[in-house]
Amino acid sequence: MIRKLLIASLVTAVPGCGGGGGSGGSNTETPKTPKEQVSALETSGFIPQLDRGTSLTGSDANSNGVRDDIETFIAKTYSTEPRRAAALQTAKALQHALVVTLTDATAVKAVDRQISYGINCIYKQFADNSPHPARVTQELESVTTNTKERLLAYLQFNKALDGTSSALPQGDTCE
Amino acid sequence: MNRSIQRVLCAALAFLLCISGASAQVSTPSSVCRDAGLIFAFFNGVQTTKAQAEVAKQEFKHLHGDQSASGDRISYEVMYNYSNGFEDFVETFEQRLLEQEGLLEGRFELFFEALKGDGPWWSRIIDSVASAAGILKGFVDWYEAAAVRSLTALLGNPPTSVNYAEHRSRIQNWVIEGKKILIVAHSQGNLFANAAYNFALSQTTADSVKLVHIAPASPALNGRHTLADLDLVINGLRAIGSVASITDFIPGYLLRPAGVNGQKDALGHGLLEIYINQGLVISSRVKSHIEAAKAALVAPPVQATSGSFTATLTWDGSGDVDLHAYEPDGSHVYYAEMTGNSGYLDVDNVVANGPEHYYASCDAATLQPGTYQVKLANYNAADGRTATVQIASWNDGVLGTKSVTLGEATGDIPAHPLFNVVVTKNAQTGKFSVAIGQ
Repeated sequence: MIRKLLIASLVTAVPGCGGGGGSGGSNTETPKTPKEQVSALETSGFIPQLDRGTSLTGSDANSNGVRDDIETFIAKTYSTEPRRAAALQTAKALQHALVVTLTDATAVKAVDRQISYGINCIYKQFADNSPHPARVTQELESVTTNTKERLLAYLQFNKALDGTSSALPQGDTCE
Repeated sequence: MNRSIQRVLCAALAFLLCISGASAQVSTPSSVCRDAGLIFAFFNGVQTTKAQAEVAKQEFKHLHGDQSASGDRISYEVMYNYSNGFEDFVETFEQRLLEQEGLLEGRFELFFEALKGDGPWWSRIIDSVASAAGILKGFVDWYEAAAVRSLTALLGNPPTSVNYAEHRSRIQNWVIEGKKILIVAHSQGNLFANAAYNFALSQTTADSVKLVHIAPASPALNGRHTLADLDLVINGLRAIGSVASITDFIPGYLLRPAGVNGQKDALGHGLLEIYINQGLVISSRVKSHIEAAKAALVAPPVQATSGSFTATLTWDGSGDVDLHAYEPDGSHVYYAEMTGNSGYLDVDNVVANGPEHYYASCDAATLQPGTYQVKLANYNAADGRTATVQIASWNDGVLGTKSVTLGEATGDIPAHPLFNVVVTKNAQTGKFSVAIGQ
């Protein structure tokens, strides 16, 4: 029932639903199909525009360990250099999670620790909660796992961590 | 002299040295560690990634601080559990993305928002293309039933000690180091937390370990609990068996404030969205339970010292297994030579189960950079036993846990090399770090 109310409200509360009014792109052509409308949201930056290739690592032209599309997303989404650096640090660690050898428990834990350091750094750099560090972390996790292959690889990494424990790191963990 | 008596005397001597060493660590400005007196151990809920559990850990720290009212520094740790079958959710999500002529085909970045039934990206899409709400609703409907199925399966096949050896070894280490233990569990984590709590009670008393349940998926309770009336996941479990009683009413979805992650959770089960959402009254119950448990904890007797890193050995039965540490300068630390140049063997066991415990000093002047080799020996009568060694650092918690089946007795010769622990010192900052090497 709650979900039905939710959906109904979402559908009725938005003026111009289905007409492309929410896309925000003033200089683009009016999209004609729903799929084109979603693409327009990407173009206008309302939702992330991401590489959807089949490889786990994607394109990384500057070899900094972060996919080019994620680097662009970070540059567009987060203000100030320290915040972008924190986001890049975490994105790099999350990217490692997709390719680490899962049978190497020590390596898996080392990647997990790098993710923990990255999130700890995000909590330092986004301490004013604008945006909230929990939201920043989820965005980075989501853009890293934006294809089926990447999402499944990431879940396998999490499965490899089943039964482990880790401590919240102390002090400044920003690189 | 009888070997056992000799070892007891050695242990007593080493203990005295360790206590004096520990005191020095506290007073010296050259300490590389910050010891914690209270452990906040968080057991995460269903379909939670490790990164999301890390975020929960950060939020708990924000709510409950670095230090308890009695002055204990608090260390926050995640005791992670993965939901079996999580990856199957991806298949169903993919099917949903293909609906409406592939409207959202391939957009897997929407997956984690969809698990909570909403989120900023979904909202923007639905604002533009209203029919996308149907895709989300279809997935959330399926997910609600699937989450209940997942929890039901887990209730029928609860976690075992074999699968969670790292958690148990960690708890044992906390007990011998005299830590107060506060266990906080959400959702599925309550099943693992109950097992951990019962294990902790086999090592210490109920005064030193407390459990706080949040949205418990298990009907068995070992502490105070909080459960929302509109928690659809636990309500789904109620339909097929007994669950804990409802403690709080929460607003309907449309009237709820979002959690810190910008999400409301249509299923009413989320930790950040519901139970520690400071915009909801229910969060004050969770907070008061945690604060009350913190205040009630009593430290168990200190049997071992926390160091810059520790090696803890346990095994599964009778026999005498020995922990051997070789320090970077070649010092060999074991039952017959319990004091090294950087560390100490401060707990020795010659009868059964362990633990044995080695710690490396927190004193920057004593702690040697380099590789510490950690090995095991079946000294006597432990053939075929499973021995477990856990390496943990003061800053990162568990760095590694390994188990080995012991061969025939080899006396003082350690036949099982398990870890190389690498201590490095940053030449510029002077900061020490500890990692597992090859």
